[in-house]
Amino acid sequence: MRMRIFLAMMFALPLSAMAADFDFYGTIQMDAWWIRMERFYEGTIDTSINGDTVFKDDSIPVVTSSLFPEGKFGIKFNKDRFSGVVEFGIHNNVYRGLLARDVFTREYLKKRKNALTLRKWYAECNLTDFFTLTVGQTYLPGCFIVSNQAFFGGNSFLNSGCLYTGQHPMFQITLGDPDGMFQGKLAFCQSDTFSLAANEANDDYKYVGETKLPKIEGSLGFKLEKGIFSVDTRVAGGFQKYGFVGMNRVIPEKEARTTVEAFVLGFTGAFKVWWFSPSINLFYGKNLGIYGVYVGDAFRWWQESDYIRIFFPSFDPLKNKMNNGTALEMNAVLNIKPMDLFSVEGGIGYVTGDHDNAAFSHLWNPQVSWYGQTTFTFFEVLDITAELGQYVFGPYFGGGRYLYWGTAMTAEF
Amino acid sequence: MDTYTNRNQYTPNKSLRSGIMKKVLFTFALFTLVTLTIAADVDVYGKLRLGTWWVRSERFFDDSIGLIFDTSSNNSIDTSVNYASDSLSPFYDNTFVPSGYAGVLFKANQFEGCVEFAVLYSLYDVELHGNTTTRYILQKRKYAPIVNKWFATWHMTDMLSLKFGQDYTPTTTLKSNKALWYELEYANIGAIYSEPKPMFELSIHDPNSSLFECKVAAVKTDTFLFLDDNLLYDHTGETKVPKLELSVSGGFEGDIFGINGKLVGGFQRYSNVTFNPEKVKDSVRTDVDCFVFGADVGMKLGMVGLQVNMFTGQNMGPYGILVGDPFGFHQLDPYMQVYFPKDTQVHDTMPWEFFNSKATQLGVAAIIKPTEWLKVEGGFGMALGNHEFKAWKDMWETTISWYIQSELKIFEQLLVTPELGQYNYGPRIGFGRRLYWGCLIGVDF
Repeated sequence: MRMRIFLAMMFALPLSAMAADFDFYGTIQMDAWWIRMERFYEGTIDTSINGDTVFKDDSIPVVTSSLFPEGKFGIKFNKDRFSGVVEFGIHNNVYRGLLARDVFTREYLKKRKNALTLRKWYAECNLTDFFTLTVGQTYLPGCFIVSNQAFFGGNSFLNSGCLYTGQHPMFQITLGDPDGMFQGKLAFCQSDTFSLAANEANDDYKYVGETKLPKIEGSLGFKLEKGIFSVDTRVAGGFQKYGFVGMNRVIPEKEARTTVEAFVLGFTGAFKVWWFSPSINLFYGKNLGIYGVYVGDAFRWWQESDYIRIFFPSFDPLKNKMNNGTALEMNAVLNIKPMDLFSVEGGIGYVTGDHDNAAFSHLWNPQVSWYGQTTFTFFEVLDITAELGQYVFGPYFGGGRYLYWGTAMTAEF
Repeated sequence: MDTYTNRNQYTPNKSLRSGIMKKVLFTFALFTLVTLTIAADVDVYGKLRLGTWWVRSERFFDDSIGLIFDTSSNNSIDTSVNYASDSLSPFYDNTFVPSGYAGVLFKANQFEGCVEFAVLYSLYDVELHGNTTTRYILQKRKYAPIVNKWFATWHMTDMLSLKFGQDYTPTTTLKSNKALWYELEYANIGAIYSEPKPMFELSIHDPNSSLFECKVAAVKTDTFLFLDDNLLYDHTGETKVPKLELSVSGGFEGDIFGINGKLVGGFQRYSNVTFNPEKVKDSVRTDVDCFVFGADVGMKLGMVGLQVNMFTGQNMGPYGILVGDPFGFHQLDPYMQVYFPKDTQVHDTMPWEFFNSKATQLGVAAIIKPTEWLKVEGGFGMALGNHEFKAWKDMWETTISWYIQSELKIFEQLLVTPELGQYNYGPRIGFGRRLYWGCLIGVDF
């Protein structure tokens, strides 16, 4: 009797209703990877650039294992014509080591920490049925992500032909027909700047970037879905220009100014016919690293190698000349999904480039990468992916290749 | 009767098992009841902003460029750090800056809880770094999600509440709506702002109105380590008692006329321990007293509002008040206490002489709101510095800032705020002025 009364009390409790205009979501991923690394050397070690202690330590194949979480969680708001998203992520702090010259591959892997990052922070206003204004941080229009590569939270294939310009604070206008078949986006965000290659710098100078205009990036897309067939294509382009100021530490009046231009132009197409989903990416650009395209590799080898120079301009103070780098990147991915519980995917990426500075272009060799994976889906929300892949960063000094294998478990809520 | 074979083995009879089951079930049900009650009332809010700003920077130099006082070496003129690395001609930066807050509110019986994240620049990483130059700060500043609030409040009676956790402390008197960057920039010139801190806070308030309130808080004591180039010594801060803060506020709010006022004060003491690792007895312990007190008065008459804030204090940098400037011109001297040798030479032995810093700030903001969808606001701030160390006192110039903005409210939730403003740090070497303009757009949920 006492129990019945008690149960009656429980059900009689006034449960407060949750507010109706927000929702939570999240993805929890756990990665386990083994990586076998080899580096290439030729000639003598250039201590003026890299320091011999770095490369000697990486001179034999080494296998490294790593285990770490990835994922995101967020809140979606909806109210009338407004919507908003706040999304945080857990990622390896890839960028923390980016500018530290003493970071090299294996030490870098060990030191990587999982950090809470801000992924999305934006509000949208649907001014009309076909016109939307976005303010805040989210993906720029030129993000072509068609690969499901699982390695390092899915970030590592981005540098192999995926045009990925990342999440940035921006103003964006979106025009599209109400059916979603055609869509155009135009975004304005902060121009990126970068300190130039040290070997062309003059010690008397200190270089900084002056930004007067925002970066502009836009895309035009077409989507269609009919029965077992669907297509999703997009062209995107972006441009930025900033002032490059060389300030003389000794004689301030010798201050020199020039400009750096960077652009990108790309195409992506994702198709689906029955079980098969092929997709391709292709893009070309100038000074892509400055522009903000994800370049380099998950291990930051380029940090200590000549690989990265192809993506950045360099300034020759003696000739007062800016040397630019250009690059062409492409990839192709094929996903086969015969049933909801199982899919197979493979991808290949290719990167080639050139530089006005002959010394840099001479060092360059194309980068090739590939991967193959199978994904099993359980209970609709749990994905288990087994994957094998390789990156080859040319036979230039400081380059190398790594083979990786491992698994990722992902639960989506 | 229970059947025991020994103390470690027993077999309860059926009635006893039944009794235990009932207790377990009852406890489980009670726990569920409590859990349901506590988790019953949840609300989520968001304030999402994006600002884009253009900043025109000028720094001032004289013929002796390179002979710049370096705040990272407090007893000498340092030629190694030179501000010649900053451009002589005006320099422009265009920035896109997200800001705002998103949080969850919990309510259960007489308890409230709040967990709030904010997106801010990682301001303090660079602000206390002596030789960072302006543009590097602008470019390297990152947007970091931080835990802004994390507290619970127990409303013990209608009049008495106890808050524990991290929140704004009682001395915060931020009343300006300045939009630049993360809406806090006015804090460093003209308004007391100390970031949310861990604390216990007791508040007494008028049960019939929210206009009278008295708060007393015990807050985590901040310390600041002295920087000097005498490498014989290390410094550390010793904290024994928490910082104490008090505020009393009251006012009246009508349709046409309104007035509000707030008096605040805070005090903390910590010990700066300076020790010589090579000679243990050669150590010195100095008490550092930091305090701030100020007043914030506001008035509303029809569509016009005026807010005046004034405060003064000692060693306000280590106290934890946001000082300096948003651009990294690091006007920190009037806010930092310091040891100096009695002459300009580096001394190998203590004691050095200890000097306190003093500063006073004034901020005024005027608001005109002719309609619900339009608001115009202008503000003026001034910082006056003083220091017991004469060299620093002589170097100080009064800092002045101003801004003007209009806020347009569109569709109730969409706010658009164009703004123009300036910071002027005086004509000293390495200092300068910034003119900025831009716009903040945001949506409240």
